[in-house]
Amino acid sequence: MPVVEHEHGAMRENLVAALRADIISGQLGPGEPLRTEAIMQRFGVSNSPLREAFAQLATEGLVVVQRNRGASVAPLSREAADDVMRVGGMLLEHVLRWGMPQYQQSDVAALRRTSLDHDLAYLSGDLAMAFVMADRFIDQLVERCGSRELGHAFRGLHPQLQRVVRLLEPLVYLPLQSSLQAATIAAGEDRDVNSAVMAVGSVWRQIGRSVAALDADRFRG
Amino acid sequence: MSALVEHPDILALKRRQRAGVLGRRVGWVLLPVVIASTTLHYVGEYRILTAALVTLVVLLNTVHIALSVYVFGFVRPRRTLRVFHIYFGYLLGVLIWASQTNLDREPLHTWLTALMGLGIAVHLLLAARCAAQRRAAQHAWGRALSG
Repeated sequence: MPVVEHEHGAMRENLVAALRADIISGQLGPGEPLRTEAIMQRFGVSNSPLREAFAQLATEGLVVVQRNRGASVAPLSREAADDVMRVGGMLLEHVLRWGMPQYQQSDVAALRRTSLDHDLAYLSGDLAMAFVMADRFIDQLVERCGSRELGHAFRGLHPQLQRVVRLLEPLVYLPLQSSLQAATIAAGEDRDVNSAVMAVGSVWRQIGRSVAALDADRFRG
Repeated sequence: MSALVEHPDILALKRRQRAGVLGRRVGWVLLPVVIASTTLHYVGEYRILTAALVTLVVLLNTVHIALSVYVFGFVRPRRTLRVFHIYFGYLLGVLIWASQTNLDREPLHTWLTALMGLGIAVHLLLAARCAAQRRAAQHAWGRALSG
């Protein structure tokens, strides 16, 4: 019985990861209906893990499940994207305020290595890896924030943040990520929390302005 | 957006990114060619084909190194596998060049070839690891970003 449950759980996790990736990358657009039959056929899963996957993605804000109408990709309006960016900025500020005073040299070194890998991937045209490194950098900040609940709150919003920043051209978003990382590392070396919050906040607002300046056809909902 | 794309710095960056993608592809082409040229050299027959393959190895190797230096330059040394991969690649490039241009000097050539084989194995392992990570990342971020 535990083996069956484990397989069921792994199947659901794979399904969640695949659907999440499709929604974040825009392959499944805002408002697009998620056809149960087609997904069951594509992934070879039954109805039960699919319903659980929809429920999990709904808690992440990526899917909307309506009674008698099935599931669809959550709409994404300009206002909603702006809201996600503002809340993300607030949480990131607290991640820095709570975590940075405890940073050790090894923490800064780990952040620097991830930042360098991000820059190398970006320079060499490996944009997908640059996005992954950008996520890893934020993950590393969250891991070091010293609060399980704050980490949980940030991770809960992270899929929506990924979805919003993915609307931007990589050539717009990734250099801003580089600036954010450089500012964090520079301030982290001195545990200068206020400088970090100011610099990262400024870059974050720039990302938000870039999202706000996107054409209306990028949003739906 | 169009003003940003037309900016010279952005154009230069895009050139580097294209060079990075091309450099990786040249590296994967170089691998079977270097194996074939080394094998044929030790077989001792097909002299013309061997000479042609050796010339191709030297050419592709030079292009691979040149593109890597153009894209990465001499990046600040840090303890990451990517940085190691880059500098190890530069070293291996020199080794391949030395091996392929000293075919008549034995036992120097054999020693260089043995070192080259070892170096290629390490470089290949790191490249395969990067390629696997890239594939996973492309899956996570959509194939539109592939490179």
